[in-house]
Amino acid sequence: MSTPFQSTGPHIHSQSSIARTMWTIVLAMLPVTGAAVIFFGPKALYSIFGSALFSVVFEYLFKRDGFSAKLPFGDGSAFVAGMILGLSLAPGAAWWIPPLGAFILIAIGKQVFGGIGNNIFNPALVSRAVLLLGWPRYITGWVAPFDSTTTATPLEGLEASYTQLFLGNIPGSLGETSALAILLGAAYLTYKGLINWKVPVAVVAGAVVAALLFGLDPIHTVLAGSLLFGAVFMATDMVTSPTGKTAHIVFGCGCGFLTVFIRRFTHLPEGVTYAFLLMNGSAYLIDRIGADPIFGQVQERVRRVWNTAEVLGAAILIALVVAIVYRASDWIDARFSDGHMTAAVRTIYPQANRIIAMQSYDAAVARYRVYEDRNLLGLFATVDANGYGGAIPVWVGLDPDETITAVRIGPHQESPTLGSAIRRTDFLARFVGTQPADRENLPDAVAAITGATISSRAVIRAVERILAAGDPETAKQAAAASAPLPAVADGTYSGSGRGYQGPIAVSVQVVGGRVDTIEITNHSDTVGIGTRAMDAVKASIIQNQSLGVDAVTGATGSSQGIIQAVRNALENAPAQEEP
Amino acid sequence: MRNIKKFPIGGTHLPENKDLTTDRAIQIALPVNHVIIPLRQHLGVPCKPHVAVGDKVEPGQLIGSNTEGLSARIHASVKGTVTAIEDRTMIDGAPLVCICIKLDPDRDGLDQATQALLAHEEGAASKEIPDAAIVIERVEAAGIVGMGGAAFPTHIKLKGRSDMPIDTVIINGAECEPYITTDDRLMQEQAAAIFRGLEIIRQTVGAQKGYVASEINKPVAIEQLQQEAKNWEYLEAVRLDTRYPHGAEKHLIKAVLNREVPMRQLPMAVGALVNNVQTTVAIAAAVDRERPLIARVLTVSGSAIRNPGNFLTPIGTPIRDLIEAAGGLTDPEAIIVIGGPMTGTATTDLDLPVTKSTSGIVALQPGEYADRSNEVCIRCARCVSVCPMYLQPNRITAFVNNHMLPEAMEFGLQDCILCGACAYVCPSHRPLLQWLRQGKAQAAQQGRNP
Ligand code: SF4
Ligand code: SF4
Repeated sequence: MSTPFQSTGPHIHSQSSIARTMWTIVLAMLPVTGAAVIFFGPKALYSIFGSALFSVVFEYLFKRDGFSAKLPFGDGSAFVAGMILGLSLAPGAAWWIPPLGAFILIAIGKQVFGGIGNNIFNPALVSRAVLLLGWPRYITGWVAPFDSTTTATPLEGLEASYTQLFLGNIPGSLGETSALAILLGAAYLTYKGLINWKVPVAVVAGAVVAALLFGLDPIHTVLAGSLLFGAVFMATDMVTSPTGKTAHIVFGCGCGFLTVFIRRFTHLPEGVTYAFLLMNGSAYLIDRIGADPIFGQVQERVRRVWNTAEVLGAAILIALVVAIVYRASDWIDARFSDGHMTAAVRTIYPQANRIIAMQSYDAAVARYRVYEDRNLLGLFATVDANGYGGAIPVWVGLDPDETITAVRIGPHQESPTLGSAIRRTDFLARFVGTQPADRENLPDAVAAITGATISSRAVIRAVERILAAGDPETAKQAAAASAPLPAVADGTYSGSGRGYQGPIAVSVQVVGGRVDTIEITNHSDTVGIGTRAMDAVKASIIQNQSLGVDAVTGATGSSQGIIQAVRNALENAPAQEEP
Repeated sequence: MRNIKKFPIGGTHLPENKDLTTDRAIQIALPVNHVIIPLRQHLGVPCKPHVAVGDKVEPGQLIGSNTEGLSARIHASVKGTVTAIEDRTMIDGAPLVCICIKLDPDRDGLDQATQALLAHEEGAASKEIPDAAIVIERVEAAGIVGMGGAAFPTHIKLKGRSDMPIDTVIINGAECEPYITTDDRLMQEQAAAIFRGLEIIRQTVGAQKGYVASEINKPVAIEQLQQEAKNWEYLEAVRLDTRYPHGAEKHLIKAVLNREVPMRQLPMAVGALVNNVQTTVAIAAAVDRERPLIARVLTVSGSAIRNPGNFLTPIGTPIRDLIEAAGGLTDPEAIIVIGGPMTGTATTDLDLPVTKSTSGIVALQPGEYADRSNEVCIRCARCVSVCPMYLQPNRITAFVNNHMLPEAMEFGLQDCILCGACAYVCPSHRPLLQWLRQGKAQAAQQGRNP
């Protein structure tokens, strides 16, 4: 006490300490831990406390000095971070994930930055992000509560009631499913003065605003996934969030908004990890920009209210524009579908109110996911079959595994007899249960209808094509196989096309409804590569009975000339009488 | 509960420990054989001594004054002989000229002279209040300064500024420091004198309203104030919530009037004037009975004090004598703090005298004393949430420690009121208040020689 500075107060202290703070947080996480054990069994304890204890061990190895005999678990911060990591793991995570995650957490999440107080990013989230990138299959083993059958989570489209979401008997990460348990923890932390309740509320508010803008169900958005867990245990993380009061609330809003943004506009099922990490990274910036006015800065406060109002106004305007553009495209979509798609979809899924296009590897096949609100009803795919009298729209309903659940025929030009034949329910019912793997056997399994061979074969080929459209390889084959030749009566027809260097003339002989021979009567293309190509294409057309054959590389002009000439010949031919 | 006022943001709840002394009546504690009277007990320049070594002095005799610059007169507090006029190291570590007076062996009248501060007469309330000029003159003659700690010369405060009219006077009875019950006891025992003093101030500065504000952890005092308030037309008692630091001037105004004193301005800017409870009592004594300020009431308390109590003692009494009057220390290792445990200063020098602004002496057991292990900041923002000035102490101190004074000032170093709430709650036991004081000292230094 030699200098007055050393003897200044406060001479009393609140008795708070880092360790006390950390163990209070551990206590606050006990309700979620309990919920995890109830729903997912005692194995959850290994993930949660295993991660925590491994973190303590690694922390110990990294900085021996920080540990004193008085505090056997160090200051508790490693334990807390490890526990958060454990709670964010899927129930089916592999046994080696906790130690690996703990190592990443301590090494990359914490010590690289210089240990407690210096890390920019939430160590648990860093670890989770690395695990997600490196070992996604091992940390996202979602299982249903009580039994351990594998399943999807509510965010991935599993149906769950609000009550279930609130109580937590749904699949998801160990600690995230039960909103009730999370809220208990939040109440305890608020009571202990360790978190500002406004921060989790800000996260939720940010998420709700985003949900409303992006047309999602706000309650589902908040309750499903780890948003609430993140709001209470991650957005309030001391080290990685801003220290200013307003800044912290802005930070919370950002976390919530970004999470929903990521969920909606990326292919990631959950946005919390990356959203929160991004916000962690901007914490300092937010602190800098959003410093609160000081007591007595009366004018300042007014000015800042205006500034904030302006920024908020601009943000809302931008968000509105985004929303309108988004909504408009949705609306255009909806109109487009109302015109012909929705009606078609509703023949199979009467309650459908939302369809989302999905990847199709066959340009002729359109594939959609069909929803009632957020609820996935199944898939819908369509392609036009080449019927006797023209295109026949074929509509197929599939379950998410791509097994056929229903086939319907759309409006077409076939004669009434043919039309009613292919509409026969016993014929269409034969397709049900077929999977993409059974595609090749389809013609045998679903025999053509006598008296409507061509039309029914066209339908079978169309369904084959639909089944193939989910995979790039099979789609190509199917497309080739199903650009079928127009059905013409037996006879010999001539036609012409444009080759590489001049016209090509062919004579096509049809026997028994099939192209039997193709003779090139005249051409001016190069002998050698040109003629070889023409021979190959000829053979292909005859073998596949289709014009959808590949051109020969290096002689595209000649190949296409042949195809064109054969089409021309068949188009000139009188249509075949239906036997 | 209705009508309990408080400032809206920040602050913290402290363990009050006031029950040790709240019901101990004020008793007189006299110096054993000498007093040491520093020639500066106010904000401003030191007084010049009017006596020489060997002179005999009487209680109340003017022994120091300075007409140049801001100052307040100094009077002898006892009857005795001047034995030395010399530099002594004061609590802030700086030397200051002090007049040492050895008490006369016959201690006749000493009790009475000391008691004069509190000798409020019945019926004083109805006495006519003199003109403002006379009031100010008497206050100046009595050498009254702010007795809550700031030690600003009261006569200057009462003069006010013509461009900033005062409409409300608030008597600060919040007394938010733990252990200290000085104002608490005065409000319990001297409510009439306090209201009389307030009425004098109110009329002197031409205010419409006057309030006495106290925290609800002092129920007896509040009861007394509310009783007394019934006798006064323009005066009122106000109840405050228990929160630290309600006693800070700006926060008191915010709580009572909901007016925010603009940054770096005086309370006058919002038409308010704040006075300490004991200062008000001293004003009443000075105006009604023309008594100079030569004694004060203070609390001697703490877990290491045998018989904690509230004492009326002559200015200049060594704190050793007061600790003895309170039964002595129960623990020789005890840490002695002059002032309250939040903002006071710890010392080992028991020869330091009581001055006009010493509100208490607190002896803490070493186990109770704050641990300042100074661990790394975990950015928990608890310091931010309690700071009554809405500052970010974690950042300001980081700037101070990294010699980034301009940034520290930009983030409000100079607005810090040094209340210590931040350091009190910091889980990392960082000596934030110490750093803030250092930062302010450096800033002042720079201000002096840019
Ligand atoms: S000491 Fe200063 S920085 Fe700390 S809480 Fe008090 S006013 Fe705020
Ligand atoms: S209270 Fe202490 S540990 Fe927390 S932010 Fe302030 S300085 Fe840092």
